[in-house]
Amino acid sequence: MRSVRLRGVRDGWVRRWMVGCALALVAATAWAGGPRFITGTSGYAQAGIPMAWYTAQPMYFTDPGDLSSGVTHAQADAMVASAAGVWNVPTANITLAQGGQLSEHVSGANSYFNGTDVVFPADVEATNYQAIQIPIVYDSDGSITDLLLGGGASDPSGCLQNGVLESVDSFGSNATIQHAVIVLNGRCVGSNPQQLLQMQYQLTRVFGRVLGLAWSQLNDNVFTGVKTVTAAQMAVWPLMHPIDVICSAYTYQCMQNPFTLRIDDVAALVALYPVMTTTSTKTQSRLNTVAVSGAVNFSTHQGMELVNVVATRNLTGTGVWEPYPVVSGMAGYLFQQNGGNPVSGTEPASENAGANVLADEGAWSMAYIPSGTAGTSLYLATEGINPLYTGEYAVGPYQRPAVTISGGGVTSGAGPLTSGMSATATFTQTLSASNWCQYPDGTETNPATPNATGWWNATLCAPGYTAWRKMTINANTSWTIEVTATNEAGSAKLQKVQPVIGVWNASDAVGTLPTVSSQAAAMNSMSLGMTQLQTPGSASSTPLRIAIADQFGGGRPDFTYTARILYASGVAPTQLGAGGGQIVITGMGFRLGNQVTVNGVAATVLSWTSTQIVATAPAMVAAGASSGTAVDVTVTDPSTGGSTDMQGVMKYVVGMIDQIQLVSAPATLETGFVAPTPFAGASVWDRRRYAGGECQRDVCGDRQRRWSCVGYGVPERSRLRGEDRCNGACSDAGDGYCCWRRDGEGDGDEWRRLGTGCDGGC
Amino acid sequence: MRVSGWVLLLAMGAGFCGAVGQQAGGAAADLPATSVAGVLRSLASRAGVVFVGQVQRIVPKDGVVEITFLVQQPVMGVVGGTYVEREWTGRWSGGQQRYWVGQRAMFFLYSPSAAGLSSSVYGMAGVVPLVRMGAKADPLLDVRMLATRVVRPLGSPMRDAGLGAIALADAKSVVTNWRVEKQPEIVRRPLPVAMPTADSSVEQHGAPDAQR
Repeated sequence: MRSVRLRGVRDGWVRRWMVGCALALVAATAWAGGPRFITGTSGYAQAGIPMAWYTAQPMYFTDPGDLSSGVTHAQADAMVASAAGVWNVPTANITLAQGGQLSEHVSGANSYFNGTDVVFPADVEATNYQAIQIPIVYDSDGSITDLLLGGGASDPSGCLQNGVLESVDSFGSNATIQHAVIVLNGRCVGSNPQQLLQMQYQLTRVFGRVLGLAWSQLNDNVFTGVKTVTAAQMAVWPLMHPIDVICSAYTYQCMQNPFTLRIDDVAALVALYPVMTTTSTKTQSRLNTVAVSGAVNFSTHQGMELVNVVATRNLTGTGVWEPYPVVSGMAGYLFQQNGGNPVSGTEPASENAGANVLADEGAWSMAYIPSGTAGTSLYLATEGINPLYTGEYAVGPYQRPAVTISGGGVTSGAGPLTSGMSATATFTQTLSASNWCQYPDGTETNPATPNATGWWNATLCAPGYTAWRKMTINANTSWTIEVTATNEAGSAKLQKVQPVIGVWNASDAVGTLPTVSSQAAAMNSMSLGMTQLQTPGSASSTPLRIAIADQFGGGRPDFTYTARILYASGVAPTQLGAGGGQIVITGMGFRLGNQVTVNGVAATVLSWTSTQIVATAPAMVAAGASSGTAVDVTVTDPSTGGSTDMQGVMKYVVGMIDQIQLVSAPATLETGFVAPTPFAGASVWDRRRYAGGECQRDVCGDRQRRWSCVGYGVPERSRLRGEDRCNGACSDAGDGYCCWRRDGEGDGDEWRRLGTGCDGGC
Repeated sequence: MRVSGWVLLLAMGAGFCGAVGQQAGGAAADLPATSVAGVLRSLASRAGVVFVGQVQRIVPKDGVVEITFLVQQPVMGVVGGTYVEREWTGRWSGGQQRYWVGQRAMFFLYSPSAAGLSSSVYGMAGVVPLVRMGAKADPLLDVRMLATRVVRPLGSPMRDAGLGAIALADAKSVVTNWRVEKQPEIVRRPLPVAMPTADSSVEQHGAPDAQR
């Protein structure tokens, strides 16, 4: 192997080249476009193996009936043969051919749901795969389509989606495809030849899926139309593009040469079914091709999956770069798609695909790039995945929502490569996330302590990575944890990490599912990009451990997040007078805009820090509380809906002294009350509300209120004599005050109920 | 936008052919929608059940996959609470995931067949993602997938490509009144910056510079 640095071709961040000089055949694990099915860790001897047909000659058998009233059986067979024949290329070791007919016309009369499974005639079933690999049903009246998809699904309005159905329904333990069913909706074809051509186009693509090809993103501009679309670019837009352009009722008309495979389609097919030796009917795949493979990495050297790599050719001898890339490969296509997580447990068997091999995380390959006899140079580039290509339109075998690429697209050159040569290229994405796994995130047996503020930023930096924290929550206190996925700039992002949260008692065994609370589905909150878990209070204070992980078991340097624990741990004072007053709430996770309620009634927030909120609690009556009864104090974040509630943490107590004011009346000020006995000696008017004493409302006969002072709490020997009234005046405003004068000092002195005032004046 | 001549002719021809798609023999080609509202009406016209909700559980059971939805806002054919849909397992083969637990959307589902099986109308187009905008803002619907079903000349971008959302309230109005042909066009809105657009995430690579 020798290192080669290419001159004259735009060179990004490629550091080193390895050029193989041998005419080595590339193993069948090298791909373009991408394989649809990858073995997982369950049920297969080896994970991370692309799956192809177990036979080089899978046979399809057609329904003996007519396809519709306007399309005879023979016409339908001819259409199917045309669609299948597109995939019979000389350099791929696969041949689709008709093996015969099914034994019966498949319809609603002989197909049904038995309560647990759809039952087809026996020759259609997957168990019959050794005799019939691909049964093709001519659903002339749409009854099969309706049976499988729902009432009305066969209606012609849905033909673009439901005109041709497919299901690959059987796989061999040796990583092979064994059986697939195809249903052609007869309601989508009539005497209009365009309808039959449209079905042929859809069936051609379906055959590609049945053969094990994934959708391919290449020259996506033809679909998006962001830049000028030329005929030359359309010529290299793969037949296996995920979503059609709809320019008319017939989407085959929206594509140049809709029944012709593009270079990328052939390359993907050949990668699955390479021809090792030239025969009378097949040509060795390696001839007149070059291969290139490598990895896309973060600057930390961790592989970056879900990145598209495309190749443009400069065929040797032409001296001209072709205007558009012709082949693509997907980074990470062999990597595990869902590794499970501690919150929801092991991934479901249906989602078990790919291998947990770190070297595969960013690996890509284009094994069969046509080069002509003289060879070619290659211009390689990386690009992100169209966010629409997810679910049934996923590019490659991906299950999670598409992850946005980290860093800028990188370009590189390869070559010149002579026919049969292979090369490798490793891309390090420029300006990609560079977070190493070095944060103190703890372990399940030794969780870390959260930041005292309740806020922290961190990264789920590697596959299978889990962040662990420990907390002790007071009894009868609910709390909230929020995890917001962010991008490299720290902004909330939906297409990076998919955080899930779990809470256990610290004493629980490790390796179990959460026992206290959990949120196993990401992005559940009202805030974009945020996963939120609200945990109710428990009867006793309990140490807890908390886990944050990616829903799909992923982990990358760009899987950053902001976490926050909203928790109120205490309030002071715990008792307030009836008039309310200032309270200080301590805890964590507070921020501007947080609201405080006492017994469900708003308190006025005066100031805040992440660990303390100062607020004015409402008066007891306004809070709907009663003296001596415990009330809740709650902190809520209205922007996220998160909250923390301290149950019964505070009381209002009537008569509690909460403020003292000494007031000296001016000598000339008429107080409005004349004592029967002139004052003797120094007298001091005190305006007080004595602890335990209160001004009570009293309903006047005229339906107004007035205050009376029911006294106790004054010096015991100076009880109220009888019942006083506040000047007899009725007022509904505020609290009443009882004014007392103390005559002299020393024993025997009395406090006289003198001044009164509903407004507190004495 | 420059479009190669033959491509333009093809588009024009396709449009003309599409306009006379009605066939004898019963198989009629529906003309594609010309707006997102039109796509919504089409979805509603075929759906037996429409609601805004969330996927709670996905349970494979032999030949079917049972999906339980939390119905948060019933729109058509369903009351609140939960709704259980049973899909043919053939649609989930090979690990293909059609829904995710926790997924929020406006769901358009066919009425269950005689066998009790159903699926989303027009595939993924019948699952319109909900975009929650916080406590103080009305939620949006992500209509980028719906926009792909709007007819456009070959080589042209999707109309209002940079405005990938509509108000949920507007969508519900169109859906509940889907029989009304002439409705005001729905106002398109930008998606939050937290959600990337296709042209921001996919590089467009031209040919490299000529060799020196």
